[in-house]
Amino acid sequence: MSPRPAFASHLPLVFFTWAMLAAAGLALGAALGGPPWLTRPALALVIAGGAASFLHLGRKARAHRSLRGLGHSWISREALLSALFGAALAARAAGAGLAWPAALFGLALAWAIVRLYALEAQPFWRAWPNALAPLVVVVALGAAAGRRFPVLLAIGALDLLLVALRRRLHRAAWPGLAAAFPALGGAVEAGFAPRVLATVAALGFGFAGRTAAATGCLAAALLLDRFTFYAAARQHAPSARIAELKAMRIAAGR
Amino acid sequence: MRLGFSFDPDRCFGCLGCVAACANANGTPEDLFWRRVHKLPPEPGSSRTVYLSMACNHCDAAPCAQACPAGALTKRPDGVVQHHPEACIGCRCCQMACPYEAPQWDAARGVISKCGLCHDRLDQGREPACVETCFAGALRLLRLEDGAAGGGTEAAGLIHLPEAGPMLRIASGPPGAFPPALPLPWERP
Repeated sequence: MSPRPAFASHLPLVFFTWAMLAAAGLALGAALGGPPWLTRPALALVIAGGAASFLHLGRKARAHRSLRGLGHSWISREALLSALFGAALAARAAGAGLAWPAALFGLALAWAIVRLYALEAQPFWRAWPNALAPLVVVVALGAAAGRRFPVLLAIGALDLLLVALRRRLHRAAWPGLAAAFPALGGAVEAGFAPRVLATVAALGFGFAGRTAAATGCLAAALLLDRFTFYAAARQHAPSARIAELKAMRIAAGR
Repeated sequence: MRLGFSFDPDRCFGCLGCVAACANANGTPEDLFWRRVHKLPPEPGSSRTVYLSMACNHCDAAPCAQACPAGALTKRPDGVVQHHPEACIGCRCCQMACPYEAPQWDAARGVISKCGLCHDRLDQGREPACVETCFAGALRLLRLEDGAAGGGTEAAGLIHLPEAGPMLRIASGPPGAFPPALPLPWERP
């Protein structure tokens, strides 16, 4: 009867988010003048992410209903933008230009993902270092893939700052939770160091002119980013509410 | 009329009757509980274990309904957040959005399910099963317009969570200062 973090069941969503954000970064890189091979891996990521998202649905035959909430749900908007982004990438892979439309759809999709995960009722999720981090990595990925190294340096520095802020946020929110959920807490803590290393390596490769290596490092950073964020978020959500209730009882003079 | 739960931790002794009543009344699978009782460790200087019975809090600004892309979660005029399984696509996004882990995954049906405040019983003029079963009087049904919350002033002896305006109210204060609630069966005229 105690709350348990449900993490494994949401892993397809972690993969979907990573794949779509990475594809958005690659599409941005292509629009910024990156190498022509960027479009195909971006399209492959969108297809793989879309498949993971579709396959995780409990009722796949009703998938079309995911567009019914366009007026209020960022998940519906994310689904629509994913389809538009995929279509633009497919058209580009087939020979049409459309570099900037694909990049803009990708950025719009990244924004929808940011808004989706900045959940109003989940304080840890909506904290701005957590909410903005994926968008920053997408721009960094685009700068690396597009060989815009001054931009990559600035965005990479901002990314490292956000990682530091997020680690502080994670540790400060509820220190006792690491003991309550040791596996998730350990995973979150273990994810920070390689996350920093991946960004630093990307900066190094970027300045060495090795576009593919820099892009790969940032894609890895993005994957670690999504994993640590989601592990931390699942860890914080349930117990934070219970602990808050208890604190309110104490504050009420009991 | 807006309805919500109120809960008095001082009256609850963790019998889990509310959990069993909810499961029986709603026919949920054996591994799925819409209502759960959380056991909180004793506060410093106290040896008393505190229990907290929680289900869906039927939030004013229900984040689950806002997140649902399929329109499977709606809010009734009486405040009940109702799940429509026939419209649910099983994306589980409501589980992410809910800060209280109210939506539960029904693996057999491939959809989520959650407390509906026993709206079928309410429509018949009856209390939710968990409230009817709680013989300690810890769990009660609250009319939020009766001065307890809503747009008015919070009644003395009640605290509530800030996020999303949940309709769960935690009773506080000495016994007898219980906030306005629907009368228990033996208190009715």
